[in-house]
Amino acid sequence: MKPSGWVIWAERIARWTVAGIFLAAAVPKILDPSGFAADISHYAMLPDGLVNPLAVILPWIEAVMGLALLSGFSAEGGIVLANLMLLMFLGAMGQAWIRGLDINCGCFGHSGARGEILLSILRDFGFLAVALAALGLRYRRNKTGKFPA
Amino acid sequence: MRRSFLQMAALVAVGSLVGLTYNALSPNGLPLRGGTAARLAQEGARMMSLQEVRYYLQQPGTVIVDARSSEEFELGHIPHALNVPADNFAPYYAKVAPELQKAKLIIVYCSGGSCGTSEELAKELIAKGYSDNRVAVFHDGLPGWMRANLPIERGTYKQ
Repeated sequence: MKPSGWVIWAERIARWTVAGIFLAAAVPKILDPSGFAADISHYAMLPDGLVNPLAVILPWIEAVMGLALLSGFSAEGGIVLANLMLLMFLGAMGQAWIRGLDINCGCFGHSGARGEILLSILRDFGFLAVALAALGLRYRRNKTGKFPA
Repeated sequence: MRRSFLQMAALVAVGSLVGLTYNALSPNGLPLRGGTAARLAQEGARMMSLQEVRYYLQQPGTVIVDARSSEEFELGHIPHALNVPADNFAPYYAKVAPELQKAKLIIVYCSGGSCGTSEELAKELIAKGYSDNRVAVFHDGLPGWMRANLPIERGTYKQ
C-alpha cells in the first residue's frame, strides 16, 4: 500500500526541521571548538581527558547527521541518532540542573550567558517532540509502502 | 532495525572521521590530549593547582582575581583577591588595572570546575595584552580553596 501524501510531506517537514536544528547547532561549535570544550567541561560529568576529543567530533556528527536528514540519505539511521542525541543532551542538562550548576548549555555555541539551563531543557523537549514525530512518521511511511530517499 | 543501526553507526563513524581530520588541518584545532590544561595553554593561559596557587601567592608580584559577581565576592573570597566579574569586565577592570599592570602573575578563579567565568576573565585579560603566561586559571576555584580549610575573607575589596 502506498503511503498517503500527507504522511510523506509531514515526515519530510519534521525531518528537515530536525536537520535544520542540528546543522544550526553544529556550525558555531565547529567554528569555536575551544569554547565548546569549555562548555562540555562545565557540565563536570566526563573525565577531563575526554572533553577535547568529544568537542572535536560531536559537532561533526551533528553536521553529518543533519545533512543525512536533509538529503534523505541514511535518513532512518539519522532520525534514530537524532532522538538518541537529544535524549543524551537532555540527560546532561538534567543532571546539571539537579546539581544546581549555573552554566551555559552550549547547545548552539559558546556564550558567556548563565542561568539558562532550565530554558534549554524545555527547548530540547520541544526538539525531541519534533524528532519523535519524524521517527513515527518515517516508521509509518516504511510500513505503508516503499519510500523514496 | 538492523538497517537503522548500521546507518547510525556509519553516520557516527563518518562524523568522527571528518571531525578529527578537520581538527588536524584547522588553525583553530584543539589539542586532543591534555584536557583543560592543554586547551588553556593554547589560549595563552595556564592551569594551576591549589599547591601552585599557594606557592605563588607567597611570591612578590602575584595578584589573585575573583571572576564571580560582586555579591558572591562579598559573601567570601580568597584573602587579598581583587574582584573583576567576567560578565561586567570593563568597569571593574578600570578600577584594578594599575595593580594588574604591575603584576608578574595574575591568578583568576571562580566557583570551581563547573564555572566558566574564570576562563572568560582569563580570555579578557589576554585580549588586553596580559600574555606570555602571565595569566593562570585556578580551576578548583573557591570550593577547592575551602576544601583545604584555608581562610576566606568577607566583604568588598578595599582599595
